[in-house]
Amino acid sequence: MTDVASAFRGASVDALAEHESSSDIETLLNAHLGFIWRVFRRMGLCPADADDAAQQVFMIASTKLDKMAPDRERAYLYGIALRVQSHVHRAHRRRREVPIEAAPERIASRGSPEDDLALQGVWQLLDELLAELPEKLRRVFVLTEIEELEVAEVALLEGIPVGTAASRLRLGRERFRALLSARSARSPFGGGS
Amino acid sequence: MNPDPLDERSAHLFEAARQESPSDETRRRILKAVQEQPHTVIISKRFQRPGLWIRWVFPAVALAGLVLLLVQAGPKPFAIVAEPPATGTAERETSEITSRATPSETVSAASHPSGNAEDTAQPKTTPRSPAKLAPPSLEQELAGMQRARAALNRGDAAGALAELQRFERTPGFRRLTVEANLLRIEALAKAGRTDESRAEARQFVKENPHNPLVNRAEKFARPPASSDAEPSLKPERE
Repeated sequence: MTDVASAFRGASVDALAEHESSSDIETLLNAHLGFIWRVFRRMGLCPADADDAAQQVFMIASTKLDKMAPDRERAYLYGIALRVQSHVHRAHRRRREVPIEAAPERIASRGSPEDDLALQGVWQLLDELLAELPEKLRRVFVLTEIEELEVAEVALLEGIPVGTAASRLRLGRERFRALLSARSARSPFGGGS
Repeated sequence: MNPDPLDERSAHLFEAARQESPSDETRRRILKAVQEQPHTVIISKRFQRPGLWIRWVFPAVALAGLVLLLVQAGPKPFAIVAEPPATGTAERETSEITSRATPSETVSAASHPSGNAEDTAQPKTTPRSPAKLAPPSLEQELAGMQRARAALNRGDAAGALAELQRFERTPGFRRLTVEANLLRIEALAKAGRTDESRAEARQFVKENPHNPLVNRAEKFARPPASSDAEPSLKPERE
């Protein structure tokens, strides 16, 4: 039984299979990590939580590479991301944690410190506005306006009819515009950064 | 026509959002964590390769032979229900092996009623078709681990080892193999099988040097300072 266990444990690992699998997951990560991470950010997670959540997504996905059709990877990862996000939000509600805003060094720097600071201000404003949208509208709005996906693909990712996706997008745009207008009206400078 | 300032502002916000991305350090950390995750899809992909099934057929035949010997020798210690894996070729081969084993199991079940409902419910002359079980869900695996831990906590190391043996014999991809190995190491130590516990702990440390749980195994891998020293592997509360 010990010899069988050894065989099952992979004493003679197929080096080619291991290399291929490792390359597959790296390819998947390089192709989709940014998308998944930004989705988490726009769904309200701070950068640190987005890091952890993205890691969970890819760790789950790495065990399901064989189930992932090549042209459906993003949809599959997105589905996992929604479930992970749901778990994270439940955990936050249970612990009543306040997400700590990440230190600037956690975010990929784009230029001078002033530029980074300005960008962070813009992201914060965007997140505050998006937080006012109902979640279903927000997801469609983010996928369309920020990730620039076609409505048909958004419908596929969300698992909803195209008409429903288009309707949610229209509503999301109207509400976002109203929120931005109200924010601009409150700003002493009339337009902000 | 002047552009709407709100549209311009929105476009600026969206463009800024597209520029946000995870840091290189985050990317490296995630890749490392995924690559070091034990028992990833490497195993399941190997199942899909027709050529590699040769490596599994002989151990499976040996296992089936061992089961036959045990069944013929006396009361059946456990019930084995073969689960055909996901691929078509693998299903046919596993079904052939299982159907060869079932007539003896069926006869033995009739002569040694052990209270196992799956065996005694079958008619004598009809070979039992292999039950098609889905691979255990994560919840089922967790329940098994919790049963083993509960047995260990109440001092029933043998019970914990039996539960872990059931876990190991369950066909299909298992996610909690690392946790099961660690529990087994502790259960062996508490059952007085310290040499086996130490050997498995050392094997675990050797195979999983970067696993976050490796420090639990390291405690059991060290030579004992005294015969009574048995550190606990109770998981820390998060």
